[in-house]
Amino acid sequence: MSAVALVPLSIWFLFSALSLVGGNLAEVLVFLSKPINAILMLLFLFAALHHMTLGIQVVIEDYVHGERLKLLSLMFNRFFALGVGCAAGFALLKIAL
Amino acid sequence: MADGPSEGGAQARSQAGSRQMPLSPHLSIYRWPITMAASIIHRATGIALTIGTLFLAWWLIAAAIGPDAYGNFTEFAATILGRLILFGLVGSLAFHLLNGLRHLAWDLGYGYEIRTARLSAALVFGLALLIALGVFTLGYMEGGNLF
Repeated sequence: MSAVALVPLSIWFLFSALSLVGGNLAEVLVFLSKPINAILMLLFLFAALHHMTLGIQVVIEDYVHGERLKLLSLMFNRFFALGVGCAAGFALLKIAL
Repeated sequence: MADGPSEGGAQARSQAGSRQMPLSPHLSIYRWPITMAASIIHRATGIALTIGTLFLAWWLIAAAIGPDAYGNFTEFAATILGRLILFGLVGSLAFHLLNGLRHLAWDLGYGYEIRTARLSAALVFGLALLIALGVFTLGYMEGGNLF
């Protein structure tokens, strides 16, 4: 249940993002290099993207009706999540490792 | 009722060949129950957050690339449009999270009474706005180091 996991994770994310406001790249890098923060951010990303995929799937099924367009949209939905996840995840690992 | 065609009907029948039945006005005249508003806003904020993941990815990727790229990000984030987007995302997250809790409560069987549902919807709207404003104010006090 990504929704349940996202309750604490989103709150953590909001507080973390708040603490990093101000534009100092060095602070951000230090923050994300700490294993606990990197792991939590990865978990947040995974949970959020999975949750997003499920939600958008419902939206597509509700509003898109042409059979081919619907199939393409559903595929694009999954690819979008995977794309964003891998790009952001890679960036995160590059910072933290 | 042998009235002449309503304006909806005249509009519909202007398409030669396609038999569309006349429509009653709906969105323009029906009152919006607060529970209905919460439901559609939940969907809207979900979609907004989906687009917001791109913003999050931009932030992380920019940080990974280096100071120039990160500078581009912070510059944009500081513009009026950037701040608007950030506020929208924070507000969307707050609303979607709080209303999501309502959904989870329903999954567990709580809160179906119409009065409870209306009250919780109102609470969610109010709290989400407060949180969005609060987070944004805190963010604006750019001394940065809060924790």
